[in-house]
Amino acid sequence: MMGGLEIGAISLGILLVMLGVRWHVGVAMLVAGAICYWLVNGGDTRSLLFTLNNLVYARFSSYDLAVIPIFILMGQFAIHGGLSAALFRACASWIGHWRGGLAMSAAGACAGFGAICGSSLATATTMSQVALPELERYHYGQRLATGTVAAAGTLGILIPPSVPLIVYAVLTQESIAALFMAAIVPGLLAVAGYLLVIRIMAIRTMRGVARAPRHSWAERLISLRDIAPILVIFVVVIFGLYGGWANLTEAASIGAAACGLYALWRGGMRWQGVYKSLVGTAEATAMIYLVVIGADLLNSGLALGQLPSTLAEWILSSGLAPLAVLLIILLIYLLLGCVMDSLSMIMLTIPIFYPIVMGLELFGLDASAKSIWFGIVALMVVEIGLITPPMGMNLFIVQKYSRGASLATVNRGILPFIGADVVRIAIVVFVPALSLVWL
Amino acid sequence: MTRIVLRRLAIAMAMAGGVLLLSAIGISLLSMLGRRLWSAPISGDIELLQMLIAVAVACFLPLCEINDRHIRVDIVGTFLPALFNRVLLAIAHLVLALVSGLLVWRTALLALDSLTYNAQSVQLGIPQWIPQAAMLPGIAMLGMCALYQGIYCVAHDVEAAASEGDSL
Repeated sequence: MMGGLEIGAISLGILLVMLGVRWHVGVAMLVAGAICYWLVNGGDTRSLLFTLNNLVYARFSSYDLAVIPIFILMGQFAIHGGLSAALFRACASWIGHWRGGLAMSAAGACAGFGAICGSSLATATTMSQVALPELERYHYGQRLATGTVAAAGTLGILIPPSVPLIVYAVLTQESIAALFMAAIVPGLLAVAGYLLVIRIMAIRTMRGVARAPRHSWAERLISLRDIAPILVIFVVVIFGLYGGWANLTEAASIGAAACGLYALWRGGMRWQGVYKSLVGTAEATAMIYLVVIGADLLNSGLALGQLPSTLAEWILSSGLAPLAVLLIILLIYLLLGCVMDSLSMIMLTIPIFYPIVMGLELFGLDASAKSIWFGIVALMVVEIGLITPPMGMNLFIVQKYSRGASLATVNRGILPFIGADVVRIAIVVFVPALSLVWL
Repeated sequence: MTRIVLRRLAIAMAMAGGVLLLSAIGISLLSMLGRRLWSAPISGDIELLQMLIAVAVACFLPLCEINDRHIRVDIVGTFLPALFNRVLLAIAHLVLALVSGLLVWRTALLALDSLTYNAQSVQLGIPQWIPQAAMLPGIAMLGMCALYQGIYCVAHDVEAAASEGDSL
C-alpha cells in the first residue's frame, strides 16, 4: 500500500508526461485523476466508475460556474459590438496627443475592455485589431506597440469580471464578489505601471517623432457619449453585486443583456455578429469546461490519497520560513506560466497550494483575508504567464495581428512590461492591504 | 467532406446551446425583476438555470474540438519532427474520443438511474433524467469529432489546418 504522497507524486508525474505529449489538458487531468483513484483503491475501479457517473452533470450544472458562459457571452457581444474601437477612440481623443499617448490609450482601452470581458486572450485579440494599425500609422515602434497590447491585454483577467478568479473562488469556496472587489485596486495599479513603462519607453525612443493630433473638446465629449453605456454597465454590475440587490449570476445576466443591446443599437451588430458571438462563446466555454471536469476528477483523486493535506503538513513542519515557502510557490507559478495557460494552472495548483498557504503565518493576516489576498496574488502570477516567452499566448496573438513584427521583436518589446509586472506583484504581496481595501 | 458535415452539426449544436444560454440569461433577469419589483420571484429559477446551462455547455463541446480549440500544452511540438508531432496529436485526439465514450456511458447510466428512481428537482419537480439525457448528444458528438480529428491527423498536416479555423 502506497501513501498519499507517493500516489500523488506518481499521478502528477504521469500528468506532466501526458501534458508534454500534447494531450488535451482536461483529458490529461482526468486520466491522472483516474490513476489516483485506481492506486488508492488498490486496483479496484468501482469507486472510480461511480464517481464518473455524476462527474459531468455535477460540474456542468454547477450554479457558481454558470456565470462563466454568461460573462463570456458578455465579452463576445462587446467584441462584435465595436466596443473596443469606441474605447480606444475615446482614450485617444483625450490623451492621444501626449508623447506615447496612443500606446497609453491602447492600455487604457484594454483596461476598460477588461471591465466587460473576463478573458485576456479576447482582450488582446480585439485590441490588437483596433490599436496596432493606429500605432503603426503614428510611427510607434513595433516593440513598443506590440509590447503594450500584449501586456495590457492581461488586464482582461486582472480587472473583474475575471474567469480565473471565478474558478479560484469555486475551488476555495470563497466569495466571487469579494474577490472581484479585491481585484480592482491591484488592477488599477497594473494600469498605472503599464502607463509608466509606456511613458518611459516613448521618451527614450520617440523623441523626434511627430505626435498624433490633439482633439477638440467637442470631439472628446462625443467620444465619451459613445462609451458612457460601458461605464454604466460596469457600475451596474459591480454595484448590483456589492449592494446585494443582484447575485452574481443575475449581475452577469444584466451585463450580458446590456452589452447585447448596446452592440445591436450602437455597434451595428447584425445576425452575423450574433452568430459570431455565439460561436466564440461556445468555443471559449467548452475549452474551460473540459478542463473543469478533468481538474475535478484529479482534485478529488488527489484528495482521496490526501496529498494536499499531507503535503501541507510536511511543508509546515519542515521549518521553512513562511515567506520562503511563498516565494517558492510564486516561482513555481512563474515557471509553469512559461508553458501552461492561466486557467489550467489555477485548477491544477490551487487545490495543492491553497492548504499550504492557509497554514502559513503571513503578515498577520487572518484566514479570510489571506484567502482573498492569495487569490489576487495567484491571479497576477498566472497572468504574467500570458506574456512570458517562449509560450506566452498574448505574444502569439499580438504577433499574428501585427503587420510583420517578428516574434523576437515582440519578445523584446514585452520585457519592460514584465519588469513592471514583477514590481507590482512584489508590492501586492508585501502590502496585502491593497487587495483588502473594500473588505 | 466528413469534416464539413461534422462541422455543420457541431455549429448547429452550438447554436442550440446558445439559445439555451440566452434563455438561461432571460430567466435569471426575469426572476430578478420579479423579486425586486413585484416581490414575486420565479420559483425554481436556479434549478432551471442549472439545467439549461448544463445542456448548453454539453452542446458547446463538439465545435471546440472540430475547430481544435481545446487547451493543450504545446511546448514539445516546436522541437520535434512534423511526422512525430502528427502521431502525438493523433493519439491525443483519440484519447479524447475514448474519454468522451467513457463519459457518455457513465452519464447515460446516471440518467437511467434518475429515471428508475424517479429523481426530481426540488422545487419544480422536473425529472432529473431529462437534462442528463439531453447532455448525451453533445458529449457523444465530442467523441465523434475527436475520433475524426485523430484519424485526420495521421493523414494530413494539422498545424496548417488548425491555424485556418480562426475565429475568436
